[in-house]
Amino acid sequence: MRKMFEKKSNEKLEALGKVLEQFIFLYGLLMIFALIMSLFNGKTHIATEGMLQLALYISIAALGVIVCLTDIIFSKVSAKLRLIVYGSFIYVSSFAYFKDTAINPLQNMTNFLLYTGNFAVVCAFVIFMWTMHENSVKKNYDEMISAYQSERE
Amino acid sequence: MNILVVENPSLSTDELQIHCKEENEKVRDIVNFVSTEYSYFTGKGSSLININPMDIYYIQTTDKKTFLYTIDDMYEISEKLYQLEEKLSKSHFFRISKDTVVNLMHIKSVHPQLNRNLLVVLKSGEKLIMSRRYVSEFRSKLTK
Repeated sequence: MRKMFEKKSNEKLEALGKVLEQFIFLYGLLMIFALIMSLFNGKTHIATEGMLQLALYISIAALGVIVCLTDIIFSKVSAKLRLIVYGSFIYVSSFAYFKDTAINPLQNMTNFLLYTGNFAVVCAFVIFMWTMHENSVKKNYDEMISAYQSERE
Repeated sequence: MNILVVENPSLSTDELQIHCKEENEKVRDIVNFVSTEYSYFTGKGSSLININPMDIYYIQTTDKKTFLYTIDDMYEISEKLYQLEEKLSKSHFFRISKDTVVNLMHIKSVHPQLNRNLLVVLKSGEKLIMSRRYVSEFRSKLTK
């Protein structure tokens, strides 16, 4: 009964995920089309600056997913090393991004330490969340494996 | 469990009967074990290797050669991985990647990886990678 409920919930979640995926895809497609039109016509149909910024964020996130979470490139390099390289890239490139702002990390030592501290907190939070997820998945598999093995011994 | 061996010269082939209360996994394991095809593997130079499949930890193909790993030994065998997978399909063996088949009875723990593969740690301490394409099938095999 529980398994059937879980199966049905998973199916519903999958269907919901697909709908969301299609919606985001369509919305993104329309936005990209509007952006291209704006750039070609020289007229502002939409707020291009915001769109470009959004495109930059999406590109950084997509790069992160491709480099760290898939085997598309660098398949022989360990996932941890790829994550460290990507994190370092974000850390260094964000200096340039915040250069013209009040929190420019290269302006003085206090800004640098504050920025580095904040970055470290974000990294620590991500690592903590991943560890929680890893432990929960591991526990789930361990239960299934011990049930399988004890049933057949 | 009582074991009885009765010699009968009038038989043309050896015969084995198992009398059990019910046919459970243990009985099926015994049936699998005594079947010659199941417990004999063709080694290098066509020699036959007799190993109880329950002692096999995993089977792996490296450089087009197939190796069979037990707790303290490694055997090179001439059979292909897909043939072994087919041969051992009724037992606890499961393909975890294109080059590895593992005995589920010897898995100690499973850890998720960032790239959605799974790290399989065996009771011997060895670590193997399960490709993400086999994960859902693995889950269903465990919960069957």
